[in-house]
Amino acid sequence: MNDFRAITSSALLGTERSLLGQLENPHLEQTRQRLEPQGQAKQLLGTAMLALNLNRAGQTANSKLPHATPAPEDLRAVLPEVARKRLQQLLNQQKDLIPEWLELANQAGFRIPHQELIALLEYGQQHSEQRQIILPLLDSRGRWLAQQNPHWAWATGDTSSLETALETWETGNKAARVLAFQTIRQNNPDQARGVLESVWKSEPADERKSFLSEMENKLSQADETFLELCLDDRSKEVRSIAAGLLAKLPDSDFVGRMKTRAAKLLNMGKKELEVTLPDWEDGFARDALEKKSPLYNVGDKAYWWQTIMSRVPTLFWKQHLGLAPSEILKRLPKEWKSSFINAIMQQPLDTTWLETLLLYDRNLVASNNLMNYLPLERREAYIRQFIFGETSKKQNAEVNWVTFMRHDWNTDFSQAVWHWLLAIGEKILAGANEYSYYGELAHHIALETVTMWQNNPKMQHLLKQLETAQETKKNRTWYLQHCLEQYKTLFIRLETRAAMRKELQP
Amino acid sequence: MTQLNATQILALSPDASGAASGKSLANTSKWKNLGSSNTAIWGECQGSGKDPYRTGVDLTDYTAKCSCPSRKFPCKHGIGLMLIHAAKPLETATPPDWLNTWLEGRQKRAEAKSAPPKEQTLEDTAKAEKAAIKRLEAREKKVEAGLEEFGLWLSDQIKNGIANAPSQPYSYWETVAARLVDAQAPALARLVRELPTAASSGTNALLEALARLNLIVCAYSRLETLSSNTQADVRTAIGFTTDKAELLQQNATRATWTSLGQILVQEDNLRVRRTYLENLETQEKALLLDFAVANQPMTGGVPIGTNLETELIYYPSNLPLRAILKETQILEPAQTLRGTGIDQALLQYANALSKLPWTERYPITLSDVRVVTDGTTWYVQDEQHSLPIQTQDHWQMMALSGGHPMQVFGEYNGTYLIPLSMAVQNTIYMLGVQP
Repeated sequence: MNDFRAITSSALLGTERSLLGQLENPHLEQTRQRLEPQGQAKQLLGTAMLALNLNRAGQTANSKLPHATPAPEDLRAVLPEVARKRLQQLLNQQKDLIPEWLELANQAGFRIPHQELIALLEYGQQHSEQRQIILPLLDSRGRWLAQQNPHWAWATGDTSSLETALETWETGNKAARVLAFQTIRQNNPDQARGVLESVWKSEPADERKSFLSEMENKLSQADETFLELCLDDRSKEVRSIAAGLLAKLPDSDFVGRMKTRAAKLLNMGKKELEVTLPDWEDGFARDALEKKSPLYNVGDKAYWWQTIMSRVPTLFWKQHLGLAPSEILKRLPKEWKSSFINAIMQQPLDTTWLETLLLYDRNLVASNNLMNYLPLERREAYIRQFIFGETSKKQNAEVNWVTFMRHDWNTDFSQAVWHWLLAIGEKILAGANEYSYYGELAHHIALETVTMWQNNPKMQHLLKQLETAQETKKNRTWYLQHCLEQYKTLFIRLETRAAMRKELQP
Repeated sequence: MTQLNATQILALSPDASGAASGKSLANTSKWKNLGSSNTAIWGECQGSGKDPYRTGVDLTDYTAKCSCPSRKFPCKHGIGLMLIHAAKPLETATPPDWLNTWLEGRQKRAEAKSAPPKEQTLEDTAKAEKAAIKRLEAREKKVEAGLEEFGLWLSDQIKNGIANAPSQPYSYWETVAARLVDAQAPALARLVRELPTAASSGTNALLEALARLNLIVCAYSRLETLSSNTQADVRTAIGFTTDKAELLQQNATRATWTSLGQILVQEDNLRVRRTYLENLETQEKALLLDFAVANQPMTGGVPIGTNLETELIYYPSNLPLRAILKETQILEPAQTLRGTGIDQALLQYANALSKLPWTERYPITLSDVRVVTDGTTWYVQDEQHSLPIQTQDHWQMMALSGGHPMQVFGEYNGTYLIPLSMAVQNTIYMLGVQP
């Protein structure tokens, strides 16, 4: 190695200043001497070449590093090849169908082939709401892989059963334990509360926050004592989560306290309802109210008012004011209407309230995703009456309305959707400049209705006409093309959904 | 005729975006008039134009023809069509006329190629030969002069010392490279263009690059004293090309070769694709080079992880590696890679260096290695040793091997290995260049 140092230092300084002298290695020295007649520079370069190549050729490999214990055998059967290709296709360009695909793959009890593990782990990394369903599909190899990379920490646990989830809860990292806790809560809510209580004091605030949020699932009166305890937690965020959960237990002491407060804040005056702003009370702080309003542009008192309002059950107002929801809305002072509505929307809405709000401002209901509080038949009836019944009205939000019904539609309702779609298409063909994302409907339409509508002469006729019209009616090309593309997307998605089912037969 | 699988088909695509678009077209609902015969598949795909694109694939060598304006070969429609056929063979039908016209055209061109060239008079031949010799002589003179000047420049670097080299402006190197281009020594010019990178990565790298250039220059100055194979190596290093047509005149025995891996790199304005093959019987390795300028399509190419029956002819070299193929037939997918321990592979590399001292990289296959990391660098390692690797795919290698031993093929450059493919449980997976 001394030779090597001599060569580089001579090269760095230049042979004019630092001549390359005698070398230790006999081969190198021999070459150095042989190259002397060529001049100092060439002598150095020639010797360097030999030295460097000797070095390369003589290189011995590094010694061993510790390696991970190999992954245990997978337990599930691997996906069929067609299903693997489908997954690749969905990951590349049809991400919206992935949740459904994951569900189906899980039901069939498959595992993901090793080639696709990274793609799915990365997908789960970005879509935390899908992690629970991804976990079993990863199987042993995927969990093993996740253990090697902290980036995929959430995927290291095993939640395939209550037993494995309890084990992950004991030994896993934070991200994995959240998923494990979800599983335990789903299977046995009381046990979940028990395991959380037993480690509560030793968990950092960030963990306490994450776990407590998961208790919203299967929340019951049995959780009250623990939640009440959490109101005294060191962390502000934990206290606020606990308050939010307690507000959803109508029989809790917490809600009782809130009712007492709320009763003073809104009362019947002569004609209108009268709003009274609260003064700060000592008890407020413990019930997770902040002394300074954290909301932009909302004063402290208004913030207390709104928060207290949001923590009493909606039924309370009928008892307290003796008025029906529609009357309450009518008599609220104008400037308090939106604050009040925002507050009650934080609570589960009963049917009367919901129908009142629908009449008041249906888009408010839609954008806050409140339709789910309405019983299924009422939802369907409402859509049939107000959406399908109003096809002449120009409103692009209609499709959103239909998709707010987030469940698999039965054949009957699906048929109604198809008829509506046909009517819309004909309307656009006739000249209505409307557009909407009809392709979205594919997620809910009953698959058994698809073939029938693909072959439906009226539908076929419509598509053909749209195709001709988009080429001829130049001034309306965009609308016609958009409509046609959406209908095509709709059919392609439905076909994909049907194909997915076939491909994932166990 | 063999069926290629989806991975192999995607590897035919000249670039990743073509492969991805091809995948999206692998959906029968996007096609009309699909069909197949014994030798071809075809279909019509609606694109952005008014008329659907007509796409055909000659199954004898997986060459695609399409009426779309894309300059990629095969284009996304071709890839899409092949994928559909691979997923589920298309129904047999009568080939449309446009397809027949194309297939016949191909047939004719192939025949014309293999037909003997038209008779030339002795006089013509003599004239042409004379002119060629004259051209070559003129070039050799130019090269000689250019190399002499360049040799002096090299010596000056060392006389003055290379300590200041990293701070030299780009133009410092570029002027020298440009003069070498003028002197018709383009390969040498390419090496000079790499000097700034070497300079910025340390004294050793720069010294090595300069020493390598010096060796080539010295070797050229006494070319006639070298063996004919070494002469060929020196000439290649300077940038003389070998006449492909002449090479193809040679005879080679038909043998089965496995395509081991492929890498696509950008060199200046040129895209270079290196494809490695291995003789199934003798385990000799070979390298196919394909070039494409700017966004021109990359032509030819063989599916990776496949056995091919072909006549392979090496370019003359002391270390025969670069080769060209005569007529090739695709056989079945290969099952595994056959390699050696790391020690043995390093010995192969040392042996390659002794035959061609300026070897930049050498293909090696390692058997029974695992992927490990020390937190910063990733390695492959066998029972005794580890070797650094450079790849984006270390996690994929982990996922596919599950920490069990695997076979890895790649390019070794004396410092690290660039993995290009791996095999576990009788399946070969591409690495690095996955479309």
